[in-house]
This record gives sequence, C-alpha cells and structure tokens, in this order.
Amino acid sequence: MALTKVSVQLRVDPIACDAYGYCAELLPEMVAVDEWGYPVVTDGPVPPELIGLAERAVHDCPRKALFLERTKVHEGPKLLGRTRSRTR
Amino acid sequence: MTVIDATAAPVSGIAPRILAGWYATRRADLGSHVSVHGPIPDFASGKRHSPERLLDAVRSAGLTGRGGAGFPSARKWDVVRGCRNPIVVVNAMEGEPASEKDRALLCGAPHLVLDGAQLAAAAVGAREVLVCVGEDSPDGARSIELALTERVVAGIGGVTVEMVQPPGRYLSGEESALVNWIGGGYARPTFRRDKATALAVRRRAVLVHNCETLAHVALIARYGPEWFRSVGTPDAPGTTLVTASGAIDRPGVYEVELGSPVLSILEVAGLSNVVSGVLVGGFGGTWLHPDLLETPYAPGPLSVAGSAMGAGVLAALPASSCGVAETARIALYMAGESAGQCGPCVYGLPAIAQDLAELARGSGSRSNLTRLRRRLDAVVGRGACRHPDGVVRLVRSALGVFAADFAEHARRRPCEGSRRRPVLRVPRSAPDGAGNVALGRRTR
Repeated sequence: MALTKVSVQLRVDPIACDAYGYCAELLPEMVAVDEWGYPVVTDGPVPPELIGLAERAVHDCPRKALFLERTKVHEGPKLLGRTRSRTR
Repeated sequence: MTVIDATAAPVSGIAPRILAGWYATRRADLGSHVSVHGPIPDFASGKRHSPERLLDAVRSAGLTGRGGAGFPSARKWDVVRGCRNPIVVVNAMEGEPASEKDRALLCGAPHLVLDGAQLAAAAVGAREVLVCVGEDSPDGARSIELALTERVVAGIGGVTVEMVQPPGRYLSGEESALVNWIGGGYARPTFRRDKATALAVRRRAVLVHNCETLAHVALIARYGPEWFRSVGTPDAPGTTLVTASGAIDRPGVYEVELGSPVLSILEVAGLSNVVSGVLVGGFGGTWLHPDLLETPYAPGPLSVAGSAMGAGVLAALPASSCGVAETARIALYMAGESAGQCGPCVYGLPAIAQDLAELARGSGSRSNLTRLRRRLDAVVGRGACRHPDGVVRLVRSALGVFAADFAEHARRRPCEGSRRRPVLRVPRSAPDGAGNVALGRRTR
C-alpha cells in the first residue's frame, strides 16, 4: 500500500487568528509575520522533518487558529481492489 | 436613480429575453408575465416533464451563475440533489454599489425570478425557497412581496416561498455570509477548514443562486436549451444583464448577448467621451485598458484581458477624470466594508486605501508606490472570503491601466482630473472596518 501518500499542509483560520505570533516563534521555517503581526504560512507540504514542530505550533496556538490539513495524494496507478497473495 | 432601459434593443440586435414583456413605466404583474411567457411548466409532478429533464435542459443550455463566480448551474444542482430536505436561496442582495441589475429584475420581472426559484426547487427536490432582498432595497422587496401575493391568489404553489431581508451591506450577499445569517448568525463570511464542506443551514444543504441566474432557468424551462444557445457564443451561450454607468448618456441596465464587444455595449448606452479605462465587474473587479475595448464580453476573452464579468458592471471613466483618485475612493469604501474578521483585511485594506489616497492627493512619493505593491502582495489570498482579493485585483489593474498617471502622482504632480468632481458613485461607508457592526443577526 505504498501507492498513497499523505500530504500535510499548514493552514491558518484567518477569522480565529488574533496575531499572537507563537507560530512564527515556534516554526520560523514555515511561518513569517506581515507588518501587522499576522502569520504568512509557506505554501506547499510540510517537510517530514518539520512535522513534529508543526504539530507543536498547532497545539500551542492560543486561538486554535493554526491547523494541519492532511490530504491523500495518489502516486502511481490506482489500486482497483485488493490484490490476492499468490503464494500457495 | 438609474434608468432601467428596456426600450433599447439588446446589443447586436437580438430580441430581448429576460427583458421581454418589460415596460419602461411599470412592473410586469402575473397577468402580463403569463401573457408574455406562458404559465410555469410543471417539472415537479412529472406528468410531461421530470426534474431530471429540467436538469438536463439547464446542463445542455450551458447556463452559468450570474452572481459573479460564473459556476455552471447544473453542477450546483448535482451536488444538492442527493441531499435531504434542501433549501433554495435566491440571492438578490446586490451588495455591489455599481450594479443595478438585481433591483431592476426584482422590480421589473419578479415572476421570472420566482418561476426560476420554483423550478430549481423542483429540480433538486426542495420544498422551501428563501428570497433574500437587502434591507437597502425597499422597492425590490415591495415588488417581490406583491408578486408572492399574486401567486398565492392565482394558486401557484408546490413550494413554500418566503422573502427575508438581510442587512444591506457589501458583504452580506457573500454566499457564506448569507447562509450564516439565514441560520441565525451574523451576516459575515465564514471560514470552512475543509474546503469541500457544502454550505448548510442547520445541516440542511443550501442551493444559492443569483436572481438573474434563476430568471434564465425560467426561460430555459419554457423554450429549451437550443433556444438558449441560439445567441451568444458556444463557450458562453445566452444573454446577460449589464449595468452601464459612468461617461455615457444613457446609464442603466441592458440585456446583452454574451460575446458582444465591450465597446458596442457602451455605445448602445451612449458612449460619447474618450475613456481612460472601463471598470469591469464591479468594485472588486478590474480596470480595462481603452485599447482593449473590442474584447468580447464573455468570461474567456475577458480573462485573457485580465478581467471578469463579475456582477455585470461596466463603468466608463472619461479621459478628463483621474483613475488614481477614482481607485482610491473605491479602495476606501471597500476597506470600510470589511466584515472586520481577518487581520490582513482589517489592517491591510485601510493601509492600501491610505497609500492610494496619498498618491491621489499628490502628497505621496515613489516609496508609497513601492509600499503599496508590497502590501497588495501581502494581503492577497489571506482572508476567509474573497473581499481582500477583490481590492487587490482592482488596485493591481489600476497600476497597469493608469501606470503613467501613477508615475506622475508619485512625483507629486497630481493630474488635473484629481481636482475635478469624481465620476463613479461611491457610497459612504464606515471607516476602518466598522461596517461589521451593522451586519446584524436575523430576527424572527
């Protein structure tokens, strides 16, 4: 089942966000702040080595505005059914 | 008030459709509506027609939404059809200040809109229709109320149709804001973490259509998809309503064939001046360069020119006026109409409006221009709704179309036009996003 991969994206709920700025402190690799202190998150998937730090930033957001979005990405041919083992 | 021009033949000489049976002096009551278009076809009971056939007709007609996004109507129906007890919402909020078409439609042909809503309800299996008319449109509301009474008297039934009046602000007609208000919340846009989540009121799926889209549905149900496609272009079939204003002699609402050159539409509306740009779509739209006025008025060609039909606004700016100052005024209004929820919009839009105001006055410099560009890049895509993106789109197009003017203004040499009276009508708005206090809850 190595054909599907989960892509993780870091996102902000802009209504919930109140510019506390913890995310930019905890994960400067992916979060910058604009001139008003609101987070600007890097587009694209979170690199595997940063997942742990990203989860920490999500957990520590005082407004619970930061979240990780996990989407399944198919790679290679689609599995059309369960393949049966041929060993007998 | 703008004149609703019905006597002028639609651009390119085709017979009017939505504006057929329209009287310049009075509203089409149920009697004259039926005498022009015939009774509403019965797609609900399935004697001669079935909901599936209506869906197929709308699909093959290629009808797209007329509220701004231009999404294929049949695809919306596909999503809602499977849902239990859905609600049909008629969006006649018309928050766009430069647009008059929704009001014109409600006042002139209310039964066409209500027929369309009833047909859409039949197609998706809804038993409830909510017609949303902004509090700021009392004449539209009166016309719909009268039409609903006429229909009850005539025994046109099958679905419950109710009119409601949300606050009349720029953003209260935004789809998620409208649905939130209907559900008892504030008329402010909402954020959905999962983009695939459908809009719902108390877990009931909602089908939201602009009122003009539904008027087209009412016609397609009667005359068929081939008739609908017989005008317009293969990619953009049919007609659409346009509100023309600015440097023209006959401002008003026109029904135009999709694909007509922008210039020909403006000429029908009495373009007499040399223009420096045309505002296309609305306040969250784009300025079209005068060299591109031959662009066909249809989604494809307009997007090549960097524009979109949006809410059907065409506002011509005379060469004697100042594009920098006009854009600055619109930006200030849009900043005031922020729902006050997302930081980049709450702080970004007033900052952008401020940069523009200083440039327009001639008190700004090249550094204002640089800062403005940086702020546009910083704000885009960072709101829960598309409101900030609309402002960015407008200002970026202004920087292109009025590039020479901006350069002069940045040298502290504002043009003659910036001292003249402004051309575009911009309503007063509360500054600094305070507009959101008026986006109140629905009271029952």
